[in-house]
Amino acid sequence: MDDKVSIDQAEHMNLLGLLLAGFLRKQLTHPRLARKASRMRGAFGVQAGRMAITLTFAPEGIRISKGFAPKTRARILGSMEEMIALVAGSGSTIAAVIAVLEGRIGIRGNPFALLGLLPIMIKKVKPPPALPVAPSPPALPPPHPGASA
Amino acid sequence: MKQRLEHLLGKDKVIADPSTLATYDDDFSEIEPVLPALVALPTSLEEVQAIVRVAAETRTPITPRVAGTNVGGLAVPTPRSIVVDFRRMNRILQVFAEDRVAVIEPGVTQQQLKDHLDAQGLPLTFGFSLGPRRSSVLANCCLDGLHNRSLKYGSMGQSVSGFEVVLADGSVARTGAWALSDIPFARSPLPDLSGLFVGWQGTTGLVTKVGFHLAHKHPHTARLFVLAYSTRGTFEAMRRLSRMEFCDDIGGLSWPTGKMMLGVQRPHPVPDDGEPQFFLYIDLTAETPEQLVLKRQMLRDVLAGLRAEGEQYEEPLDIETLVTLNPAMDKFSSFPTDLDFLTDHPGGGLTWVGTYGPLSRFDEAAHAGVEIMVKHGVAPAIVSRSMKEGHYGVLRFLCTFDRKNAQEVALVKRVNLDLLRAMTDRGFIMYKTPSWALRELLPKIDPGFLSLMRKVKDLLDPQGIFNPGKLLLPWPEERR
Repeated sequence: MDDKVSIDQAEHMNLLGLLLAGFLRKQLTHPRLARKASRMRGAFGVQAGRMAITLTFAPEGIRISKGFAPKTRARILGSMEEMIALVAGSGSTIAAVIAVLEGRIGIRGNPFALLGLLPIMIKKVKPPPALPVAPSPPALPPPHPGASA
Repeated sequence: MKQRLEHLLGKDKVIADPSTLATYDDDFSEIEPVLPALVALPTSLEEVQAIVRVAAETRTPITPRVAGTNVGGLAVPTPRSIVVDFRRMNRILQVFAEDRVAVIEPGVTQQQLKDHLDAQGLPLTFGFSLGPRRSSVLANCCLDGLHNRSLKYGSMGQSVSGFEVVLADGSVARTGAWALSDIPFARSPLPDLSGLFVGWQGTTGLVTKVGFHLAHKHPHTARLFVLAYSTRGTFEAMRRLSRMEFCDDIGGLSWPTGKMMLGVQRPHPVPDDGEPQFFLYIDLTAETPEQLVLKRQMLRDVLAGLRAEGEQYEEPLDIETLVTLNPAMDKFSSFPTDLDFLTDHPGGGLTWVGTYGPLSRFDEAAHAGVEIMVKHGVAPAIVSRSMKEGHYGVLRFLCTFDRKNAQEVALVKRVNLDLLRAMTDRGFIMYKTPSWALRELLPKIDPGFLSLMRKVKDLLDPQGIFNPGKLLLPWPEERR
């Protein structure tokens, strides 16, 4: 399967970008979210505490870069705690809107553009339907002596 | 010798063909591979005795080995030695549930013992090292490694309650209470001879059974991560939480370690501005949900006190939340675990300087270590843990590298040497000590201690057959 989430210069990427990369990869296993992401375009900034990243949506997938790109359609800003609550919390878009209205999460730029981003950024609570189970491989022979070295 | 061992053990328990011997020549580290003369795979105490007698008669060195996952060359064979591969001696012999004592053979792995206790429905657990699931519980006892219960119980050797050992003349001894009682319940009250086989790195005898203490498994647990923004904030939290004695485990992973866990093989040595410096991980357990709530509150109170002093932390995150954020964090959900980001990477090399030292000096030692690693262009991957309620702790500096790249091998050797010197200068002592480090430490160690060690060694292993060269003592050919 193609990786639909790429990281620019992974060795330089901050913790926020690395955490979100794994999260987005999992989100995109949901067909509805994958379709939504594939239709989105442009760059969005995310800042948690003092760490910032840019998510750039393109037909080939989502690219994560460190810092804010000069041009972003919108930006979400908040403490690490609030960002984690937003992303991995109840899974409710309403909770996210309340966080914005209460000022715990800040937004800049085009708020309507963020409406498309929010579902992708909020944990999908319901798991995707189970894939058919592949037949078990035959039992392996005992390890070769020393193979576990 | 091959024929003699085949006669004594059977042909299927002796390996002599070069291609199979080559699978025993190394470990994860930068230590040069060494081919053994033979490999013996005993299945009983009597067979181990037979091997030792043959080795003693022929003055052939013996290197004990189970999984070969050591990262200091301790399982790398001595030249022309017999490797005793204990993986077929893998019986869990007894579990005294009421006394929380287990008796096992050397080949029992961490995963095997956990599965056994779970399958028996016993509310018992034991200290898991961060070594792979297939690594030996007994080896960690003998090597005095650490484990995820070290905060309460100290290093693994301190959980040992008795050994069965084959001595250099092929005789067998039992230590601790086991010398008189059928249950190896404690190392006390007889003279503590178990210590002759803890931390000696296989140089005093071949341990064939260990009795050791299990721990009660509480039904309610929480594994929490706290992102800490300074070194002082990390270790001060560790010190205070240790003193309060309500946590089961407190550790700290520096930012590169976290990034490696999240899939970055070689993080840049310098962190991003504004990144947390450490993941503090904290295990809490309780008999009731209410107790767990109280312990969580105690943790928050400690962090609040430190915040009031200017330290910065994020709120504690449950491992489940972190796994939601990034499934790679699942590696830390339960133990034992395989931290494959350290071992299964292109190049496959893993080395470290792992030290035990006083928690009071962790800040300074960590700073020094970070400076050294960054100077060499290596990301400062640190794994630390408080032990014995904070009387001391472990501070480990890890390097992954390409074992086939001579420049990288040379680099990690330089990094390790600089780290060792910096840590030793600060009163930290490398554990599971590799030979290269021992050579460095030899001139600094108390001469009386060294002399006593030599006397003990000469008494227990007069011909120098047990894992020679692995603990401050000369190789047999140098003595002759």
